[in-house]
Amino acid sequence: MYRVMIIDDERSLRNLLKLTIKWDDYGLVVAGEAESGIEAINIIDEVKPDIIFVDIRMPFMDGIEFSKLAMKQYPDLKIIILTAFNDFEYARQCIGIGVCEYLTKPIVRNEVTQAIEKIVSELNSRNPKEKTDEGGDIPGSMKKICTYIKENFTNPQLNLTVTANRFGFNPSYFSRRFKESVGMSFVDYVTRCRMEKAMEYLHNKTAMYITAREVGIPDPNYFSKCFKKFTGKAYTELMKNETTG
Amino acid sequence: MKYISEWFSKLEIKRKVQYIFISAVIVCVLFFIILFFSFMHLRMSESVLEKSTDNLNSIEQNFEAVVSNVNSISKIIMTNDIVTAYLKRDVESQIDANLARSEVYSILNSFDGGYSVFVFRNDTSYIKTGIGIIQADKHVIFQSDWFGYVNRLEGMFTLIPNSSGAFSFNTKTDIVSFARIINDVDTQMPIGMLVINIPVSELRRTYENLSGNENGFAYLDSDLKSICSDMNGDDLRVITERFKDHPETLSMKGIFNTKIIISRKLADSDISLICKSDVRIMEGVTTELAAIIIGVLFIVIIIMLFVNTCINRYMTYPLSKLADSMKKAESGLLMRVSVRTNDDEIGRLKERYNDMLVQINRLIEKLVEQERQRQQAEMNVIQEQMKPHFLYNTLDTIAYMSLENSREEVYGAIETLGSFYRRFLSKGSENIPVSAEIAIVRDYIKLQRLRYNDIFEDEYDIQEDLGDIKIPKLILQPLVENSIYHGIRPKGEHGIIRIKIFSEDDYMHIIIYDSGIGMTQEQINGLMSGSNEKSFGFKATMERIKNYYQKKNVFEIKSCVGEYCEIEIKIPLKY
Repeated sequence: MYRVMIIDDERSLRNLLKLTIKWDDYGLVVAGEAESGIEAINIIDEVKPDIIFVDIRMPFMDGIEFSKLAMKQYPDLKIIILTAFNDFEYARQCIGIGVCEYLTKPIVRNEVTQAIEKIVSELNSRNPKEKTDEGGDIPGSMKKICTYIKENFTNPQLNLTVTANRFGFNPSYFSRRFKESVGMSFVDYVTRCRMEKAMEYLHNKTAMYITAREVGIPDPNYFSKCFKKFTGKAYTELMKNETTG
Repeated sequence: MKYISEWFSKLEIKRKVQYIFISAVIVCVLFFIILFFSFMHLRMSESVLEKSTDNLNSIEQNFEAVVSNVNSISKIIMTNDIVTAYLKRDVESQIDANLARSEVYSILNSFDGGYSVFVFRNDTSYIKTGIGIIQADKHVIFQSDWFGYVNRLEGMFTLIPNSSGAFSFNTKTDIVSFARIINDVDTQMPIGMLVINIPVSELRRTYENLSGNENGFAYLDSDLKSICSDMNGDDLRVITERFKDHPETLSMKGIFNTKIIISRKLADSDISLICKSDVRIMEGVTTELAAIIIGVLFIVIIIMLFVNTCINRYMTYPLSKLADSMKKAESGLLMRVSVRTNDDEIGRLKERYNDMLVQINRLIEKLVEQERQRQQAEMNVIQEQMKPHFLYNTLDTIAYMSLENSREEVYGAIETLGSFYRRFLSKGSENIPVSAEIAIVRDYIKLQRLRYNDIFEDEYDIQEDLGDIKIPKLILQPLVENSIYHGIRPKGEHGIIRIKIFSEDDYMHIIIYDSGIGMTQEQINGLMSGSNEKSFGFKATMERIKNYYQKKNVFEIKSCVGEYCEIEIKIPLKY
């Protein structure tokens, strides 16, 4: 089973893709979805996709920018660009960064399945890599890692792979060991750091979109999602309380 | 003349040069010939005149010799005793007459000349002798003018040409009469009259040996009638006609043959001698002279031909070659001319032409490139106008709805999409009523809300009586689009878009309000000055309204960062 991730700022498109394609038939599973490039970068380490469908035009981080980042971290990733632009210039850029396919909207199932078949056969013919757990003594350096995260969570591109690579660990090994020693996943940890910081901004009556930007989640929609998950309440709601109370 | 100059100006330079040279040669040759003939004419006239005068003198001498001869005869007859006896006798006696006649006859015989002699007594009886003579008309003689004249001369002789039909001959012979009164030696009284008729042939003999092709002679009486002449009748008539006015010398000019006529009045008579000479120029042309003339003409023509050839070679030919080469441009091929030319004006012309071609080709390339870019830009604009991304994305949204939502909702969405595009793409009226523009915006917002999950509300506050006012089509939709994408979505909060239209101070105010992230003053300034390249839609809309109403301050943007953004359009109601 290969894992698929769908990134589009329109829920309807994500859902359409999920509904219309018989993923099982191709040995695929939709493992995750994201509303923006920012969200995708944050959760990509948890979703661990093999194939990504990404819309090219999204706010805060467009599909091309995201693809560049993702390819850097996961060179084996297969990326399918979705776009309403039938534009040669875009296509050229996409090929330049190693994007596999370029599909134009509106979505035509036939085209999607052809692309999927091609990519699946490519993935099948690839030599499965030996996954080796390696790395030094994590507990010793875990403090350093947490400090690093606290200092760098305002960088929107900070994620598990970046951190693991920085400290010389295999990302999956690092992920496991991080959860073991810290007690929560890397993403949850980073998000908690960010949300704690966001609470400070909230007390200063900072507008949500600014807070979001400041804490390293420039997509206020994703920030809002994270904030609600973390505090159980919407930022704007708390904001109202702040101003009235 | 105008026709000729038009015709000439249309000729090719090659032909022009040819014609000019041919004309020059002709003029040159003509001038030369005229000069030559004038000179020859002058020279020949002088020599002819000289020769004529000599001839005249010589004839005059001959004539005088004849007259002197006759005079001698007359004297012998006059002094002959027998003749005088005949004249003196009171009554004419036949014996005396016979004696006198034989006496005169014998005298006459001792002279050559074919003369005939009449000796008249005072009583008009006469004797006669000589060749071919028949009779004298005494009546005519004694009534005639010349008889009176002879009388008055009292013995001096005179010559009477054509003595008025007084004498008749058996042969048709013209005569000139030599007449004088015979006076008695003793009494010096007139006793009779002697007339010696000189045949005209005697006069003719005076010029016979001189006359020739170019010369002609004539004796004329006092009435300018010809006594005798070797000229043809026409010449003579013309000459005598002209001679009336110019009694001395005259020259009658012809083109190639000028006649010089001189005359002389002969002594002891009314007779004039005329000499006509033809000036024949060609006779003065010697072989050497002819050779020189032809030679000079030949040289002139050769020089002309040489100059013509030079002009052809260095001007006409290179020019026509250049022109032929340039002709290729007619076929649309702007190729450089590669004809070999000298480094002269023509060469420079070629260089300039080639430089010009390079420039033109460069310009054409530039224009083609510009046109290509312009078409591409137009294409882009048309594409943009179709809003294909919006359409494609909306189609995907509706596609999803058809799988998940109720049929009613899907139908509503498709209906809205159809309604939006029908108005949005409708051609023709560039201006639409405010209500129609609002309908477009409503449809647009409805569709966007389908896509973005009700992230905003829309509110409308429109003054009712303004619904029919016409405004340029599609000035609101781009602004609403901006509000969604640059105002509300980046904020991540539920927002509101409010459209308010009202009139105030002869202006219609259209306000588009959104509760988005707003703009800083710098951003607003950038937008107003058009320096922000991302705000293409806003800029184009602003330009359209400015151009349409010919006003500058049609826009106003108010904003509070993080709070709202408000764009106000002021449209004059009277314009």
